[in-house]
Amino acid sequence: MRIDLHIHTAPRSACSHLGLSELIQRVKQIKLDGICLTEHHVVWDRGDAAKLAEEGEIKVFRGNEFTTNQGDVLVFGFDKDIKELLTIQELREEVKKADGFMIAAHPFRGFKTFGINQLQMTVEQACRRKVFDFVDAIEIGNGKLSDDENDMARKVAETLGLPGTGGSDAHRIDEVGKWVTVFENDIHNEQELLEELKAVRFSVSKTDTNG
Amino acid sequence: MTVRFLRNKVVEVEPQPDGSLVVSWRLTDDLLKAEVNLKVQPPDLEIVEAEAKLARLVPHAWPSASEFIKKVEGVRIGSGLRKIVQGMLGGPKGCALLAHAVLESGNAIILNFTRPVVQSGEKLEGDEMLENLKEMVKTNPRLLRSCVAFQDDSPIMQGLDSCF
Repeated sequence: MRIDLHIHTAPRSACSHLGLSELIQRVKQIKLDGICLTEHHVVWDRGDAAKLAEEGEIKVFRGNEFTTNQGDVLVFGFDKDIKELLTIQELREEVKKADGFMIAAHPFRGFKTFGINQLQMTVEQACRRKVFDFVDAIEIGNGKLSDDENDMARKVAETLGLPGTGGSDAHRIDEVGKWVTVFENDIHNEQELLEELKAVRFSVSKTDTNG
Repeated sequence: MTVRFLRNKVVEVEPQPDGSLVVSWRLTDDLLKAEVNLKVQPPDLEIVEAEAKLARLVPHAWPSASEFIKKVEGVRIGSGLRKIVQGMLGGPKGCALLAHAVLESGNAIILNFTRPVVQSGEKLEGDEMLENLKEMVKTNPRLLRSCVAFQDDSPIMQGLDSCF
């Protein structure tokens, strides 16, 4: 079951240009089995998500992307509406209480500028980032990152023994589904999604969505 | 009546023998004297030490600078820095000046790395320059559509469709 675990829609994510109707069309066009809406510090209302799923005839799950002092983190199974920036320790405490699941999002995303890539970190150095002490998984396939950046995330996940997930981080229609998480079992609701994530019954896949 | 206000500001990046970088941000104007020093450790560009001093007419509402700036220790100068620093140092209970100082210091660190690359690119001409720019976009897809130079119809983007 192919699910894009990382999607931002407008207007809930101010930086997104992705409307709901075009998202649904695209999901059907590229034959995704489901999507997860992960807005920035906004969790979708359960009823709104259910309505979208019903009207669009697609599976819709809810997550949240929090900014912490150690970068962005995707959170599942955690409905609390938190607008302010938390430290990674604070977020971990909150999510732990809710028995949720945390994924370090695009941990090696580079700058929107030139030259900084020359900094060439080793995998060993990359593994020392504090964020990895507080998450359950690492996003090793992100549609906005270069192959090298995703590759570093994959190597770090392997070294640390953390599972790797995939998501497009789509903010525009043509970005949807570029990376997906492929679950072994069918998932019907958020509880099952959480269970499958915790059981690590998934792999990641990069998709050619240009066609 | 003539109102005169003078402000001087300087940001310096100094590589250290241990491989770290120290960035010093200093501001002096007719009301305020401020100094922020950050020690940044490559390759992760983590802020490992942060110090700040504010002097003269410091607004009462601002938190103690020397303690408050410590919140950015452990933060990396990287993608999302603006959001992180605003979240930690900005807002009604924060100190806009310190947030601004840390962001400008972060910019100085980034420029320390980007300037030589941009300068070397400027020496190229014609197709060579175009190829160099294409290579930059390939290794950094976030540049895509980030400015007019990297829009879909730009000459730089021609032939790069299959890369993304």
